[in-house]
Amino acid sequence: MDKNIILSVSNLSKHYKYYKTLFDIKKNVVKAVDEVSFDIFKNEIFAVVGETGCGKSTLSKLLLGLTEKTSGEIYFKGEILDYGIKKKDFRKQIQILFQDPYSSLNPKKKIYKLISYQAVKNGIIKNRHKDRVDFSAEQLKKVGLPESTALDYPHMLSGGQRQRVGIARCLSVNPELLILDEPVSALDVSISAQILNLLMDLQKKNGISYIFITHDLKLVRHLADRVCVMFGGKIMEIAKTEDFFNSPMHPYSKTLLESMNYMSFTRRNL
Amino acid sequence: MSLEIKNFTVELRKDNASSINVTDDLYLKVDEGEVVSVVGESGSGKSFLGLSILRLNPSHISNIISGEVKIRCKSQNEEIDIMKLEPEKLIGVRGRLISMIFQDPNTSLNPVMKIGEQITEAILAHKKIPKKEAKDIAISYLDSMNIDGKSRFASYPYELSGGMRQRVMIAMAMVLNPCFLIADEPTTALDVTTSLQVLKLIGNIRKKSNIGVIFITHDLTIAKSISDRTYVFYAGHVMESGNTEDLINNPMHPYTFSLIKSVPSLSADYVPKQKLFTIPGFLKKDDFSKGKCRFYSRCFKRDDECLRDIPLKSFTDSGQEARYVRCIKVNNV
Repeated sequence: MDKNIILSVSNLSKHYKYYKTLFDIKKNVVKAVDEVSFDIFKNEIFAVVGETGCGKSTLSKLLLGLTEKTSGEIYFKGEILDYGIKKKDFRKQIQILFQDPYSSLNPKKKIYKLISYQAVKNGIIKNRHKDRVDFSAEQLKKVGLPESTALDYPHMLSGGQRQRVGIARCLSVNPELLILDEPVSALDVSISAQILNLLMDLQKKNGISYIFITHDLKLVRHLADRVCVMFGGKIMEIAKTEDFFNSPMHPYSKTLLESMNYMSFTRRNL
Repeated sequence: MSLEIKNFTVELRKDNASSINVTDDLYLKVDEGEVVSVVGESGSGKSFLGLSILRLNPSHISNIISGEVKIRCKSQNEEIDIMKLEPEKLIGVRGRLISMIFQDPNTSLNPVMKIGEQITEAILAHKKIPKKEAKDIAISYLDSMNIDGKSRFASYPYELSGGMRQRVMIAMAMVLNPCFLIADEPTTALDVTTSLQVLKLIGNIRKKSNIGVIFITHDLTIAKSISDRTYVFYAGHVMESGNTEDLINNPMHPYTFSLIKSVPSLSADYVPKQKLFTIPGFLKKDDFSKGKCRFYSRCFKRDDECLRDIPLKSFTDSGQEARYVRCIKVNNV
């Protein structure tokens, strides 16, 4: 297998069963993710684009082992990804940054507890108050927050600061793959530019791969190396960013680009 | 037909001791068939402005200190000042003269009521007509929003998608033929493709029924796609206003400039992966205090001159619409 491939997904499917009524005998199936295959290379930003309900969140759940796959295989660095095997530490290596910084931080815990939790569990630092605070302060510095933030509660921070704490939490265990689930869609334009710059800096510095889930094509154009368009659980198109924006092949990609063009500075009124 | 807001100041108080002006000495005008957008980031007071125009602001924490909201409408012969109306008469204004669409369609519809009934309820509250007739009106308005009125009349909100719910909200807002519509971030909770549908719909309504729209948004690109004029709002002050096209092609205030710069563009000559322009810091409560430019703490052009009250200066080019900028560093067009 190619050494540069960090994550390889082949024919991955997730089907949800449901009953239409209480006494329904027939099982109905929703194919949330349907026969999806792709590779992610080292140091790459791989964007997954699609509208609500197209299966991009289910895909990220599958990669994190938060839901069980129906069929297909996921390989992480050539090994089958199985979160059941404790020795392999897959959880440490694949991390996720959530969309909403207001609900993804536990409001009852101080920032240092949130950031150092995984490091303690993974044995990187000892479970001592001073160690945890020092460790968190160091992580906070990397994302551009003052060290004193470690002793604050989440409600004392603004949205952008909270998202930075989220990033610090992801990076505290040195992951190799980071899933960004709409990292800036809950933030203001002025703040989201700060976060995007930070994410780009950190990627260059640490050499992590990103899976960037979004529906904003402007950000995809700015950040991504490759784009994958999903619709109804299936992948419609995978292309290099440049090629995708210059000549989208799939009709759905064209629709997406068309509607995005309306919402940019270059196009005239509706 | 016009809506004119003058010297509009709204105070928001935390307790008796401390208060801030979330809207300060605002002037805003909407004409017939015109879309005016109010752009600002979260916490800048733009949603509160929308609520205050209809006097829907929570009275236990906020006061309207001064100002007038004058509305002249085709169905009304004389001019009304909403701020001077008695509370009972406000019902005749809300929904009938000025309607409002809220940000989140998931929470603004009643989950245990059929959508058709919610619309007929709005009609029956204002007009004395038989229920059957109201139902027909509701169905026709749903149809005009590209929703099959007959089959969807008895649907509950949970059976509809986010975009459809927002369209139901628009149908409900339009059902009484208002003269003005306040749309408070109607596309924020939606996808790109569905938000385009909603924007096109609002554009069509504007053309067809010739109403004035105040479009509140945080996204300058959306403002650009829909509006004729734009007011850039920061910490309760209008920082810059003018024709949308001019304002975006030639931003004069540092804040507008920074906002436009910090969005990646889709144009052909754009180079990806370079550093984005950022506005340092974030909007704080201190920014609302008097005696300095409200954008002072985050501005890249600031110096000691900015530490005083900055008036809104007019820069009117010949043959163009009025352009106002609140910055002393800007001297000419």
